[in-house]
Amino acid sequence: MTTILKMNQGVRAAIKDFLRHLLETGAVHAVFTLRKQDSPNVVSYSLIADPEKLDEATPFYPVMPGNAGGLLSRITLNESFKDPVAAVLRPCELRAFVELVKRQQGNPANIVTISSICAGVSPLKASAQWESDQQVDEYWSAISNGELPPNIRDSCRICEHPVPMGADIVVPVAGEEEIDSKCSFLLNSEKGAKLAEGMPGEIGETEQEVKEVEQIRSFREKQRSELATELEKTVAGLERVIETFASCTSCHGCRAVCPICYCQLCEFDSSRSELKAQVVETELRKRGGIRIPPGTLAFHIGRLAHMAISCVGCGMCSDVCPAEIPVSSVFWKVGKAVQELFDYTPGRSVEEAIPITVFEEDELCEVED
Amino acid sequence: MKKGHLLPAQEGVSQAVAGFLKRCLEEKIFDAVVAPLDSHAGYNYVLLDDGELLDKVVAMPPVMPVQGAKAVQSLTHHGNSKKIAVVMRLCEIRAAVELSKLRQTDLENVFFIGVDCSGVIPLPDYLERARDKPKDTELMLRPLCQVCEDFSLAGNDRVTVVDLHVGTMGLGDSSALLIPSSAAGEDVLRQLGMDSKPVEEVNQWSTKVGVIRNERRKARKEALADIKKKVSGLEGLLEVFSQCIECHNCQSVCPICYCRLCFADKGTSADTADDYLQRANVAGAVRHLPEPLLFHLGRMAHMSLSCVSCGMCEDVCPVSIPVGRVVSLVSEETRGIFDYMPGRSVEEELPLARFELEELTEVEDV
Amino acid sequence: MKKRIGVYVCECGPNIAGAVDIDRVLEAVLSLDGVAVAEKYGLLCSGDGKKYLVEQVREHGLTHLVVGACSPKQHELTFMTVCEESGLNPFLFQMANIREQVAWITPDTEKATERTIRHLKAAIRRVLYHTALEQKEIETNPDVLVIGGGMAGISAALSLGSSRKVYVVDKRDALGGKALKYEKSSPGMANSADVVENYLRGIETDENIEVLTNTNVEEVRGFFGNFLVKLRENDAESDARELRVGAIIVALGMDPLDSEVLSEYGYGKIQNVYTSLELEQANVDGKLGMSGGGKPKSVGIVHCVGRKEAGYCSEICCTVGMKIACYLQEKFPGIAVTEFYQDLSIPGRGAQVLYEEARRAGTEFIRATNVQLSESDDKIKISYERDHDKTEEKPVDMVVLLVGIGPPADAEKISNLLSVPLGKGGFFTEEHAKISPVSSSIEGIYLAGCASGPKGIPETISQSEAVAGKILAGLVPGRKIETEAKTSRIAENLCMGCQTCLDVCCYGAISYNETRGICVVNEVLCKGCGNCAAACPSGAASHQHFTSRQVYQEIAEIVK
Repeated sequence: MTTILKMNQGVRAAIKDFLRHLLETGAVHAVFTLRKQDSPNVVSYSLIADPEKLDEATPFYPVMPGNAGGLLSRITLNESFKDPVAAVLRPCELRAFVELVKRQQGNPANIVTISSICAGVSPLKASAQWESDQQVDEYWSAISNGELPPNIRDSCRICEHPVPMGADIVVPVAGEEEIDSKCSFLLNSEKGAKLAEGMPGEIGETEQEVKEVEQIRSFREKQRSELATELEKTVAGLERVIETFASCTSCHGCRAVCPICYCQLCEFDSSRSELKAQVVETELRKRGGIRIPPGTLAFHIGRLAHMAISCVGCGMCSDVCPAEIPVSSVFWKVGKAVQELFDYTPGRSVEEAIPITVFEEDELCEVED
Repeated sequence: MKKGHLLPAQEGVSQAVAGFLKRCLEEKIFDAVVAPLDSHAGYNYVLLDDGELLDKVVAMPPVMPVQGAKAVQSLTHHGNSKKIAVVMRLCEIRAAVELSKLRQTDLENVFFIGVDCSGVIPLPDYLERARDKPKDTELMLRPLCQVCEDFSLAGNDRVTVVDLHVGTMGLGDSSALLIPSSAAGEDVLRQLGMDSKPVEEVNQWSTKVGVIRNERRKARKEALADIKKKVSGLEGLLEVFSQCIECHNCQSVCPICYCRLCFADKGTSADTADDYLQRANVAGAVRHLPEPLLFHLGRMAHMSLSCVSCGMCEDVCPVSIPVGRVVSLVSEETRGIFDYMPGRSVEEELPLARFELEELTEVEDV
Repeated sequence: MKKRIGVYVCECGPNIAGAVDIDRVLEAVLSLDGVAVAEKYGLLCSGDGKKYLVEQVREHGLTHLVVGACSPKQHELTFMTVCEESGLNPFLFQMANIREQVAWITPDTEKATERTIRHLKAAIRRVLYHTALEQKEIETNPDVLVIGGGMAGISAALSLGSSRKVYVVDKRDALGGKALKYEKSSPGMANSADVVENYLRGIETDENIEVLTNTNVEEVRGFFGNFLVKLRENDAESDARELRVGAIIVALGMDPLDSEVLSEYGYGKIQNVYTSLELEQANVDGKLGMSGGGKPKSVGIVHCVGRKEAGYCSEICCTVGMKIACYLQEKFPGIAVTEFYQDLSIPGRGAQVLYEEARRAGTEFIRATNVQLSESDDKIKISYERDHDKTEEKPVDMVVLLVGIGPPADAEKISNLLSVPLGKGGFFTEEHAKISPVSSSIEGIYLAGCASGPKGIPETISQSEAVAGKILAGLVPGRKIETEAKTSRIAENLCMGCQTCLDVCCYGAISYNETRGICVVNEVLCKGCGNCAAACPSGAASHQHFTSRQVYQEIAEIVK
C-alpha cells in the first residue's frame, strides 16, 4: 500500500504545477528535467532553478536525448548536490543511476526522484525529424486510448520494468486512459510525501499494481516473446551473431551513450585493442584476407562481458547506431540471461551488490565438475 | 595530356580492376592488396593476398561505412614492411596522407590506386533502401559528395599522392583507364607490360570529369553559402547544434580525429554539482553540461585544417545535424589562411606544426 | 585525507592593508569548503612572518597553503621554502597576487576588496587540485667535450683542464683553426701564430686534455651531466669510440661566405683577385704578390663582400682590411692602396689607431657602392658609385675582397646532432642574444667563438672563458644537480605517438619510443614550459603543475 495524491488535471500540466510548487516553496532548489531548447522540437535535460523557466519544461516528453541516469552520474561524480534537487527520470534512467552509484560513479544524496509508469520514448532518428507537435500529440492520444504509443523504441516495446523501483514519487502514465484530465502521484517515500504537502488534490491509499499496469505489462510481454522469437532467428548461434554485427562500423557510439559504460577510456579504444602484426600474418595465412579495421565482434562481446549484468535496457545504443544493428535487443537478451543467473535486477536497490563483487561458495555449480 | 592504359572492362570496372590486381599479386609486384570487397556485411576494406578473394572486389562501392584512411591507419600505425597496393577514393587517400604527417599511418610501402568516385549514399539511407535495390537512382548522395570537386585525378592539381588512378567517367561501361601518376605507377605498368599512351579516351575522360567538376563547384558555392547563413552568429551556431546529444559519433568516425581519448571526454571542464546548481541559480535554467558547442568548436580547432570533406560525420549523426557541411565550411576558411590543402602532398607540413616568421601579420599590433 | 587549507593574507605594510578590507576577505574565504583557517599578518616575507607561517602549518595540521600577497615573482620561492620547512610539499601551495594585480591598480576599496576575494577564492579552488611534486637529484659527469680545435676550443680546454678531463675533437688533422693563418692580428699586430702555438703547447702538456684530430662527432645522446657521445675517425672503417661527458662546447668556428657571392666580383675569373684569407695565407707563406710573381703597384680592397646577401655585418673585416693595407705598405713601399667601404666599422680601443695609421701611410678610403670589377688592358678596373651618385673608375693591379664571415661548414650536421637550432645567417642560436650569449637552449651545451656569429679573437676568448666559468660552477665534480619538479608528463595509455609534442619541444626533452609507439618525457631535461601540453589535442601530454583541470577551476572560480 502506498499514499496517493489524485488530481483533476491532465498529467502534463499537473507535473509542471508540482515542480513549480516544489521550487516556490523552496522544498528543492532546482529541478532536473527535460526542457525545450531554442530550436523547435528539440529537448534536452536541464537544471531549472527559476520557477518562471518551468514554462519551458517538458517532463515526460517522449524523447530520451541521453540517459538521465548517466547524466546525473557525471554531475554528481565527485560530490553530491549540496541542496535538494528534484530529478524527473524514466524508470530505466533511475535504475541506471542506481547501478552507477553502486560503482562510486554518482552520489544520490539530496536528490528526490520523480519517475513515471513509462509508456516509452520515440527513437532519436525519428524525433530528430519532427517538425511540429503532431507526433507528440499522437503519443498522448494513444495513451488516452489505453494503448502503447506506436513508433517507440524496440527496447520500450519489450520493457519489463515500466514501473519504477525506488523512486520517491511515481506518476502513472502508461495505460491511463484519462491522462489528459486526471492523474495521480504515488508518494512512495516519506521524502515524497513531504514534498506533496500543500499541493491541491485528494490524498488516499492504493495498491501499487493496479489494473492499468497489468494491462501494460501483458501487452509488453507479448511484444517480448515476439522479439525473442525473432532474435532466435536472427541472432542465435555464432554464424548469426557474426552476421548481425557484420555491418558494425566500429564507431563505438553505443558505448558512448550507454549509461552503464562509465570507463573514461574504453578497453576497446586502448592500445591493447589495436591490430597486431602477428594477427595480420595469421589471418592472411589462414584465410588469405582480413577485414580492416577489424575487431567488431570482439568489441561487442567484450562490452557485454563488462556491462551486461547491469544493462537496464534503455535502448540508447540502438538509437545512435549508424548501421541499424539491433544492439539494444541483443544486449537486453544477453543481459537478461546473465542477470537471471544471479537472480539480479539492475537498479532494484542500492544495497544489492553487483554479482561480480560478491563471492558465494555455492554458485554456478552447474559449471563445476 | 596525361597518358593512360586502356583497360578493357566488358564485365565491368570491378572485374577489370580485380584482374589487374590479381596479376600484380601473381607477379609479386605487391605482397598484399587493400580493396573494398562485397561481403555479406556490405562493403568493407579487406587486406588480402589471396587472388581468389579479389572476385568480390567492388571498385566503386555505393556506400562508405568506414573511412579508408582509418583502415590504412589500423594496418600501418606501428609501421609496415609489406608492399601493399591500396584501392581507395581520393578523399580517403588524402586523409591517409594527413595521418602520415601525424605519424598515424606509415605510407612508405603503400602504393595508392585512386578511383573515380561519383559519390556515396548516406549509410542510413543505404541500409534502409538501397541494400535491396542497388540501382535505385532516386537516392541522393551524401550532401558533401554532392559538392565534391576532388573525386577524380583528371585536371586535379590538389591531389598528388596517387600512384595509379582508375578513370571511369565518360568512358561508357566497357572500359576504364589506368592513369599512372608517379614514377612508381609507371613502373608497375611497365612491369606488367601495359603500355601507357596519350590515347583519345584520356581526353574523353578529362572532359567529362571537367564538366562534372564545374557543376560540383557551383553546387559547393551554393551549399556553403547556405550553411554559412544557418550557422551565422552565436544564435545560428547554437541552433544548428542544439539537437546534439554528444554521442561523439562524428568524432569517432572522422579519419582525422586520431586521439585515443578526445579532449571532450576528459572531464576537464566538468563542473561540480554545486557549481552547476549555482549556474542554474544565476541563469534560471541551464542545459546539462558540457555544452555541445564546446565539443564541436574544440574539435574544429583541432582538425578543421586537415578536413577532407568526406562526410562520414554527417552520415553517422543520429539527429541529422549537418555537421560535415559546417566543418567543411570552417575548413575552407581556416586552411585558406595558410593556403593549405589537406592531403595534397606528404611533404607539405601541417600549418600548426610549422613556424613562419612572417605570417598572420594582420592580427599583429600595427 | 581531509583537506585543510590555510589562507594567509599579507598586509604588506600599508600596501595591501590600506587598499583592501582584509577582514571582510577573511570572512568570505573562511566559509569555503576545505578552508581550515584564514588569518592576516603584517609582513609575511619577514623573518618573523616566515616563522609564523611555519608554526601555523604545524599547529593547524594544514595540508595546503594559500597566501595572498605580492607578486609570485617576488616571493613564491620564499613561501615554498616555508612549506618545506614546515613539512609541507612546496607544490601544495598557491599564491594570489593581490598587490600588483589589485591593491596597486585601484583606489576604490570596495572594488579592490571584491577583487581580492575573487583572487583568493580562485587560488583556494586551484590548490585543491595540486599534487605533491618532488625534485630529483642526479649524479653527473664533470668531463667536457669540445667540438672544434681553433682558438675558441683550445682556450676553453685550457681553462677547464685543471679540474676535469677535456676531450678536444677536430675533423682536421691539426688544431689551431683559422688563427694559424694570420701573421699579425689586430689590435697590436702581435704574431697570432705564435699565440696559437703557445696555447697548443699548453694543451700538449696538460694531462687532462685529450686531443682527437681527424675525428668526427657521430652521435650525441643524453642530457646535461650525462651525455653519451659517439666519435669516429675520418677513416670510416675505424671503430666508433664512446665517451661520457657532462657538458659540450660547440667551438666550430667559421667559414668565409661562399663563392657564389665572390664570383660576382670576378673572383676565379679575373687574375689577381684574392679573398682576405687567401692574402693572409700568402703573407704567412711569404708569397705575397701578383700571380705572375710581380709586385703590385696599386691595390683595391673591397669591403662588405657578401654583407647584403648575408644580411649582417661581420664585425671584423674593416679592421682586417686596414691590417692588410699595413702589410702591403710594408712589403711594397709606395703601393697605392684604396679601400672601398660601405660603412666603416672600427669599434674598440685599437681599431681607430689602425685606421689613422693606414690613412697616414697613404691609404685612400672611398665610400663606395655598387662596386664592380672587370678586366681592362693588364689591369683590373674597379667601377663604383661614390656617395650614391657619381660613377667613377679606378684601375688597380690587385684586388682583395674582404669576404664576410659565414657559419662553419658542419653547422647543420652538428645542429641536428645536438638539437641546437641554427638562427640568422646559419649560426648556432644562443639562449638569449643579450643576457645568455654563451649558452644554447639545450642545458649543458655551450657556444663559443664564431660558431654563434662573427667576432674577433678577443671576444672569442671572452666567450670561451665564460663557458669555462659556467661549467666550473655548474658541473662540480662529485656534486649532484637538482632537476625541475614542475615538468610535463605523457599518459602512456592516451598517447597516439603523433609526435606533435616532440616537434614543439625546444629542450629535446621528449623522445619517441618505437616499441611502445608513444612519446616519453625525460624529466631531467624537461624545463616545464608546457608547449607539449598545449600542442597535444587529447591532453595525453599534461603539465604537472598546470593541468587543464587546475587552470579551468581557477578560471571558473574567478569569473563566477
